[in-house]
Amino acid sequence: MTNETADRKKWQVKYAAVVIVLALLIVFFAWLTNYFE
Amino acid sequence: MSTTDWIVLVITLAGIILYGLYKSRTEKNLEGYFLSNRSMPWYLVLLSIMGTQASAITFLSAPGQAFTDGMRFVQYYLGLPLAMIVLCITFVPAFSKLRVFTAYEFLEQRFDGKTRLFTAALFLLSRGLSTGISIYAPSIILSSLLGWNIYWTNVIMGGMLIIYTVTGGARAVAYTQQLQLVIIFLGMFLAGYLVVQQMPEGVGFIDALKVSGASGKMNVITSGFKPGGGFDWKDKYNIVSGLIGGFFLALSYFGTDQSQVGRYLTAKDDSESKWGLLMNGLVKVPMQFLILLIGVLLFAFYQFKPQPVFFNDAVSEQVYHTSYGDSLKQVQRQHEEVMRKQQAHVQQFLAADHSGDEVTKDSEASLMRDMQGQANTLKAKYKYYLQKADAAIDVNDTNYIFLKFVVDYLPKGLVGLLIAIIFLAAWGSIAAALNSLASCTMIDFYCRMSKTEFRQCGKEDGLQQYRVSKWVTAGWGIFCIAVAGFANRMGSLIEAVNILGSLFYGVMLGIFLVAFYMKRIGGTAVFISSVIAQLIVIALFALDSYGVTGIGFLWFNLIGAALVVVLAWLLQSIGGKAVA
Repeated sequence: MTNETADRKKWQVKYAAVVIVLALLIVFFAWLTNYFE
Repeated sequence: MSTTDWIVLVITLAGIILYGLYKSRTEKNLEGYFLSNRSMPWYLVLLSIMGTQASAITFLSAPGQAFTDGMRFVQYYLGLPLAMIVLCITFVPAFSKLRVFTAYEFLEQRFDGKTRLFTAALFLLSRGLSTGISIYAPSIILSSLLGWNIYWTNVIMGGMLIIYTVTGGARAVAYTQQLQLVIIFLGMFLAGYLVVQQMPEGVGFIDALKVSGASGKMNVITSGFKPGGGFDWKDKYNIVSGLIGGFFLALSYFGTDQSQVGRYLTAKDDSESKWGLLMNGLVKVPMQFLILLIGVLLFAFYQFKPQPVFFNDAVSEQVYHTSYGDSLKQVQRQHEEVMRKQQAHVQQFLAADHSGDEVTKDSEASLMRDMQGQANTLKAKYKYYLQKADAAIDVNDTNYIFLKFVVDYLPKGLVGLLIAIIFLAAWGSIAAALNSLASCTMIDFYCRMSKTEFRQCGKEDGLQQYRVSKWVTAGWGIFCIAVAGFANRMGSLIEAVNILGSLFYGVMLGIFLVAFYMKRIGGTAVFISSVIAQLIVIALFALDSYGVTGIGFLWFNLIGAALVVVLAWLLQSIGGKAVA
């Protein structure tokens, strides 16, 4: 694996982490709405 | 304000100005002045990005927005993290590779000079106008609290800010934003804590959320579908418009607005830029959620304390002396009566909740919503009388809700600190805006026009251009102060800024999307399509304002961008080499 490929992979993991955190936030918000409304 | 508040306010503001001047030492050339010599670490880039986006409008309007409309405004930010990822993959490497000063410089490389100038002109227009609103936002505080003339307040507010922005350029902007954000977060946390602390005994944080939730204020996620079925296109904030519309707005704002591009171009390398943007994607939604939560807590707070029917006292006072004064006072008395009944229902609701009596809890919640409906009707009636008395009166009191709480209920010293925070938040975004307006004017217009060779700007006459840049920054400061003078009829300021952004950003984004993803499309095709698309978006906005169409403003980003992409593709397919 070249340095460039390794770097790209590293960033892809970070992007996936951001998407997961966003999904978790939306689930949390939906739960909040359901709980308090 | 008490003397203590004045001392806290003056010391905080003076401290920031002095700190900005202290951090003003840059190399006296364009790269030093506009990009801080591309030397910033990711965390400073992050704070600078956040400080630029979070203006006083964010802290003034957002709690008021949550108070009146609930938490659903947070959905508007859900597309932002996704936009950050696209920026990291596409925009950052392109800008970084060419070592551009402005985003629009890239367009000349990809297309031609006219596309670059058109996009840069759209930026100057939209950012110049919205920065005027950002100056006006904190000015209304002073004018309403101290009875100062709003126009002179705008002048004083903008004038103080120009001092360190002109002197220190991007470096002073980034360092002051760092300090400003620390003070802002501290103050907002304290304000939120004090809202809960001043609730009646036995009413805690969760109880407050339950009270607000029963009145429909904990609507964090909404589908956007009407109860009878079918998507409500006029509904501004729901998960669909937030994810799609918010994504395009964030992509356009962070990818094509020089006030943001200029922040991450100050990074040491593209890795630091990407880190700053990604972290912004992670922290922005929770941050906005917490600011809105203050509004929801305030809503609960005012179920126990006397709630004004209208939060801008200065306007009410003005109308009391007219023939409509008695009508206003009558509505006020009726509102007080409704709120007294509401308070009783709220207490019964909480008692039922604590004892686990679900039937009583549900019936009390239903009665609370009825009372809230009556209170809203009275509020509308009150506003009707205000406008009857004087059609020029701004009946939107959203921006005053948080401030009125601050002034009426916070202890001495903290009032001064909270008002200082509003100033600091405003200064953070205005400073970045002035810096970017100046960099765009200098690089894309002044410098470009005086050079026959592309990308020769800043290569010579560095000191001379540095001096001109300072004058240009000051000139934009004066322009924005002038715009601020006309900003008082724009309703909710946070919406006004977003509407302005949505009008122009979509087309700007479309141009950049064609640049990145449609390699065979040439400059003339994209230029003609972007002019047509911009005219269509403005026409749609006008039709929407007159109630002819029903499209929420967030969709203008998507429409503008899609129009540019589709029209450019059509033109290129039909015109061939003639539009390349």
